[in-house]
Amino acid sequence: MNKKFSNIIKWFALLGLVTIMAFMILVFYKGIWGFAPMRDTSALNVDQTKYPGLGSTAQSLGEGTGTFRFKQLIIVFMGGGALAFAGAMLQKITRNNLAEVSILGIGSINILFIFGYVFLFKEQVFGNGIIGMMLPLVTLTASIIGTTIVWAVARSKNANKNTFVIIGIASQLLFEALSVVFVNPTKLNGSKEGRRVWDTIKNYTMGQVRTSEQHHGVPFWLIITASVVIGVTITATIFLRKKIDIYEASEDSAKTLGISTEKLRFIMFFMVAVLAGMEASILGTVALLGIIAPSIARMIFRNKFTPMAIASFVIGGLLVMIASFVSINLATGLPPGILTTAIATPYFIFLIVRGK
Amino acid sequence: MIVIKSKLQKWYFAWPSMIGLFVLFFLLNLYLMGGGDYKVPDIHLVVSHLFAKANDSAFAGVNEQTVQEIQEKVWALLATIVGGVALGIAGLITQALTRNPLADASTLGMSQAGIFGIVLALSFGFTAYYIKFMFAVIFGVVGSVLLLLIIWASKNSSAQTSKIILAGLAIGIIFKTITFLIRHNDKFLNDVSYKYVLGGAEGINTVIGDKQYIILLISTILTIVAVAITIIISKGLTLLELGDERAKSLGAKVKTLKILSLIAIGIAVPAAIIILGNIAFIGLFAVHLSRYLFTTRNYKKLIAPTIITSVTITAFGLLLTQYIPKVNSGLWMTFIGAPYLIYAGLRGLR
Repeated sequence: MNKKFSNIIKWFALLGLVTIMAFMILVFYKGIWGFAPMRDTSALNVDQTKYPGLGSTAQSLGEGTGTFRFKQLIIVFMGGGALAFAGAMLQKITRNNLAEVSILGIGSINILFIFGYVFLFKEQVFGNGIIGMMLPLVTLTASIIGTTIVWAVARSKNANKNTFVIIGIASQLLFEALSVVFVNPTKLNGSKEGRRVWDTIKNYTMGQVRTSEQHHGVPFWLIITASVVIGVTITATIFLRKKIDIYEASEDSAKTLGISTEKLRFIMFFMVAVLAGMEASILGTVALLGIIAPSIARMIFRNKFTPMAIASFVIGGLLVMIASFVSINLATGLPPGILTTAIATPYFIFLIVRGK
Repeated sequence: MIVIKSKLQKWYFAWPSMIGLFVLFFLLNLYLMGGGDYKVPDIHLVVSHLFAKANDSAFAGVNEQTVQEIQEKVWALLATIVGGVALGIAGLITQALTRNPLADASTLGMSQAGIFGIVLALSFGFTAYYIKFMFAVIFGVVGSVLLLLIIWASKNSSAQTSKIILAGLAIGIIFKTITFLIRHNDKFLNDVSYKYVLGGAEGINTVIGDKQYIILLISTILTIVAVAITIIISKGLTLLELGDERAKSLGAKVKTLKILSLIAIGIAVPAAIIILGNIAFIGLFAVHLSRYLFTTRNYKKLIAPTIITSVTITAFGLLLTQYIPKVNSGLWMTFIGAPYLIYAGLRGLR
């Protein structure tokens, strides 16, 4: 078969899957296949005393199914896509197929900053005031700090491929512990307000989709802004595609061809920071997604930047869409972030074993 | 000559300072047990009735709540010490066995697997301590078998050291995630699982029930057995570090050695986690510190230093928790251990 033709078929299949999934998320409710219906709150209303922190999605159902599902669709697709795309870019810059936003600790710094911010301003963070407006800037700052650390470590010469990842995991553990200290649940659970803060923070760490405004959901303007920024960043990356491919092949040949590698690296790390920051403000942690999506994309479309990165965007979005569909329609109440991690970790181990 | 002198100096400096620090932390821990008003608890009262219940006739006339509180704190201190010994020994053996300086029960995912076992047992409603022990042992073994499979499956032998740790950390993440997925209908059991995941004896003693001293006793016996095994195989462990072939040619029975070390790890890790929960990095940190302070790579000489170092570290963690109760000792250990892992990683896995 012609290579071009087979590529077209692959793209059609991929986009077809996305369309089907989007259709399912938008349409499925009440009675179809016996899935827990969206409007029937009794099926989804999780008992807060039994499952603390769960059920914020279910509570938001009063808003109207259509709006709710539309927002959910945008959040999971753009959020998952942005994470996967950032992962693909990081893998190109560090020449390490195990690099990823959450594994290198950038995601954890994001969560830490959100923790601090929510903890400081409590209810105001999700209001329409200036403090609510600043949230994406906070996550962006956190991402820039995180990527700067990664950038500094990447420059150090004695850091080999695997130590890089070990350092990342160690820092993730550290930030996790810090976050637990930040919000001690035993202290917060007493008051109603404390409970809400704890819920919000838990939602962010688990990649729970939050849509309703009165229940600390992500406001609509933020969803749209983040999506637009993600879209613009990704479009901008496409202009660098040739330079990125040459840079990945070898730093010397890139220099010979007149590419300013230092500048390119800087721009790419900045773009990763923007993507990770925007993602964190709407979705939260989806660990290991940035490894699994690009590696699937690489399996289908090889390693050329444009098809690989865009396919990882689509695959990342698709995976989180599936996870969120399962999470809501099967009424498991499990956040999509956790579901995705549970699937992705064995694949991560497989990648380590294969040693590529 | 100068080198030997400085080594000796280091040795003579290390022992008193480590023992001194440990005694200091131990006494400070005891001192703080009196509560906020810095009263020294009646040690005699607590120790003589350590294995009795609070409502025994021996405590007639004493405020029941005070006795219970002090007993719980004494339990936490003893548990921290026993667990520290077990984790340090486990770290020592794993490092020799995998020939990997970053190996430890927590970096290889064994602790997390054991914690998963305990939480799983709780989710089935098995609250009896021996069943918890059983589950911890079984899942600790499952975790190490998984790791062995991964090492065996990865044919590419280059960068083996970092690969083992990477695989171990990934196994840890898997078990952590699935532990998180288990939810109980019962609020108390939820609380117990949370305490185990967070780690720290001072949290676990509040949820472990009235069998706490039996559990501690079993853990102590298991730890002593593990230490005994380690002393027996210590000469072999030193040889094992040179590589299987060379160890064989130097007269070590490699297969027996490996099986015995696996048994020792399999005993020590569950014994530690059932009383301490998920406390990470102690084995790693204690062994490195004792290697540095006591300037030896001879495993026979390392056993006692490792024990005293890890016990000092855990006692320090408990002490910090007594001062700042908001942060439990599991988290304190992560604050010490994770930066150290980053540092060791940056130094290029020496």
